[in-house]
Amino acid sequence: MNRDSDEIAKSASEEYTYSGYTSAVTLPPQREALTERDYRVLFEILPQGILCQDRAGRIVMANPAAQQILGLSLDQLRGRTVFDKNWQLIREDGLPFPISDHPAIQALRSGEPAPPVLMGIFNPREHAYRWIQVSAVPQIRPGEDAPSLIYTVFHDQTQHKERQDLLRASEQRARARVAELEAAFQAIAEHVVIYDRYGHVLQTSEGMRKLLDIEQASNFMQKSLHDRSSTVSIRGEDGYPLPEEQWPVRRILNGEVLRDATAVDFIVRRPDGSDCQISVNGAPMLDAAGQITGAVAIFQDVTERRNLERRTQRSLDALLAMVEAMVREQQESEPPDDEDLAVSGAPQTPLETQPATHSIRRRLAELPSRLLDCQRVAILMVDTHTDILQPMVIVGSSPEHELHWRNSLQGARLGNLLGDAKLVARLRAGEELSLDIAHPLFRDQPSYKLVTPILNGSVLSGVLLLDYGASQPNCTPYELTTIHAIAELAALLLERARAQHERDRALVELKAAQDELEYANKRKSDLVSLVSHEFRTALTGIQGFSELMRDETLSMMEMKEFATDIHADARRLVRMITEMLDLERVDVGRMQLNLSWLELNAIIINVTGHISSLTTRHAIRPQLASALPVLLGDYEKLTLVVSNLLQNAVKYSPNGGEIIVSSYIEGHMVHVSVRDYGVGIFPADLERIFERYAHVDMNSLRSIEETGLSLPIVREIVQLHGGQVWAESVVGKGSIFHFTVRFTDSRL
Amino acid sequence: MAKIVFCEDEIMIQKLLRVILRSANHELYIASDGAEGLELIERVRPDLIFTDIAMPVCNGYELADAVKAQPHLAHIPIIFVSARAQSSELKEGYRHGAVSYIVKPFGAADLHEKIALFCNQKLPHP
Repeated sequence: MNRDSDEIAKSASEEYTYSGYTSAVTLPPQREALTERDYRVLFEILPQGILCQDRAGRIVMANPAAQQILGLSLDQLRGRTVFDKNWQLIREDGLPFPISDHPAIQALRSGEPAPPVLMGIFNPREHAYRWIQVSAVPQIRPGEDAPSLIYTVFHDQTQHKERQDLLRASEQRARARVAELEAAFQAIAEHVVIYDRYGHVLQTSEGMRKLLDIEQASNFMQKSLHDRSSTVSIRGEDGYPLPEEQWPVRRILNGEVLRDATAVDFIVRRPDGSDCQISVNGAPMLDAAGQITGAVAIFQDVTERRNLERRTQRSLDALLAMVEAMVREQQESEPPDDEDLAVSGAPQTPLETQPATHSIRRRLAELPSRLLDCQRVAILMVDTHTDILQPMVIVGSSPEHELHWRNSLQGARLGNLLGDAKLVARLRAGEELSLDIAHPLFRDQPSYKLVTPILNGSVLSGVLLLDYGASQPNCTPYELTTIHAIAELAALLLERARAQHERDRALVELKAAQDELEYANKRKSDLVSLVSHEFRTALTGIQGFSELMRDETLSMMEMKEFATDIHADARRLVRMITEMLDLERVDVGRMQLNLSWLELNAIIINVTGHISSLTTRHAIRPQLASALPVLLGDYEKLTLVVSNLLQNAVKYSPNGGEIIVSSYIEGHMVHVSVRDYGVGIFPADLERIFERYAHVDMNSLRSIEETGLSLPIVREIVQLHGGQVWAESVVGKGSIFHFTVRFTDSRL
Repeated sequence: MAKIVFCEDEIMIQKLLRVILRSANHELYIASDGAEGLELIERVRPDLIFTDIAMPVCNGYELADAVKAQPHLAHIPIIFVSARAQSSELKEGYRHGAVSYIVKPFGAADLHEKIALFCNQKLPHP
């Protein structure tokens, strides 16, 4: 037997038959020895080829088998030596066979039988190589020490060799195949394990060992299913221990297929104590009869994924809770009553209203610290026209920090905060920016902020600032999604805040308008009653005297007297009506100026002359500037002003006396003053006499009757001319009334 | 023939009063303000008081209060004279003890009527 055949038998699980030929030679019992003729027969019929070679290596004899195997006739063989090149002997590896290794040569040399050797020999008849196993036996004649004949015996191994070669080839292919599968097996990202019927591990990928963190050298994989599962304390998804029939591998071995939708999660503990969550897909392996012979299972480490899912679920829950809270608060909150506004007087600060709203905002701003890793959050409103920021809620690391941050943001412009106008445009487009915006307190330290736009449709209504401090924000898609969700909620809150703000402002404006209307109404009715009071008083004389004239018999003198009285009262009434109308116009702001170029001194002189003629006890003395610039003004109304002041001066000097009228230039104004030495005015009244009865009462009626309705009108006229009117007085000594009129400004 | 005190600051109306009542044989005393009026009332002990409400120094209500406060004057009927006809003023007047009211502009007939009404029914002396 040669080595090759041994190997074949052992390594393959197929059986190979060694085909050879065994011949047994049985001697006929009657003969004691074989005759020459018997040997000759043997020689002829043996399937092995026999060559007889002389000492020189020449072939002297060849049996038919040899001729057949070698493909040469006896004649062709006779005379050939073993050295003949025509043999074309080759080794198994295809290289020429070294003739010295030829058994015949070795036998010749050594005189001993030479062991068999396999060689290839060219068969010219078949035009192909035949493989022969050659051995040689020398024949030494008695008395000689060197062989005289060499018998070379060879078996035809060609078929055998071919089969052997085929076998080897297929074995190699099989090996290669196995290697491929093995490589593929190892290359799978998931971790595959192949089990036998009982749950023993037949094959496992490297990854699986790493997954469970099991040492290569450990015998973990050799343990039984039960032992292995206990070692890793297998638990279900919920963290509770699994009973054996629930173990995924057990289920697969019981015939269940776990795949995709039916894949199962379980939790195992690694040697270092950490848990990991594994997802299993698997199926049983069946033989031809449908019996379960084992199982294949693919494991995936889903720890990270499940963690992410859990975090996302938590975020979702938190966001949903926020939304619910917002909806609830919306339903529960009442719009602020008018009473609230009235009580507080001023409108409530729009962004710090009801506690419920405030806490919703706070909770929203605190979400990033719960769901992400960011503790400092600011939600800001952005004014659509001015880009000015208004903090809505600030969550910081301390109240002081929050205060500083709020102060630095309040009223700032968005462009200044971001540092670059182009960034504002990007923000408006919906992009979030990661910027280094230094904190006002710590300007040297980098302070990275994630700036997320809060959009209302396509309008930027606010900004969500997440302060990550010294580390740059590095957001996973999950985190970005959460941030966007928070921004959406903030957009809703901002919308609500804005709407509330608008409503509050509208309410306040409404209230103010209401108040003004009431006020105006009251003043009107006060005015009306004042007017009616005045009129009635004036009419009493008219009515009374005319009645008398009608009913009684009067002398002509009396008639004339009463008629004069009636006339005087009527005139008074007319004057009052005129002043009333003027005051009405003043009240409504409808007083119009009829402008022309005029010279104030001329007016003063005119009026002075007129009033001087009315009184004998008073001396009106002008002290006028030598030349006043012409100015643009209303001639009639300025006449009224001067006239009123002079008349008042007369009235306030019941005992007569001097009245001095002065005019002079003061800066770009003309300054006129009227001085009397009369009774004077109480300090408390100095301003009140110019007022348009902001508050009408019995006492003021008297003073109004004294001064007429004129001073408020005087003030209005003077103010329309760009000047002021005021009074100085010392009770008992006299008063000075001043007024100024602008002359450089043609705009009135 | 009655003694009447009239408190009124408007000169024109004072004249009118004198003219209206000159033929009626009443004694007419006129004061220009409340303080003067009070003095006059104290001195003259009139049968009837007419007073304007809007007067300097001491207005009509104050005068009425002062008169009513004096036991020996409290019985004298007081009639307010006013240019306003609002019910609130009337009520106010009555609160201060007025017995009646005249609204400006008034005429001779109004005066005579009131005088007849309150002077012919002399209130009992306390």
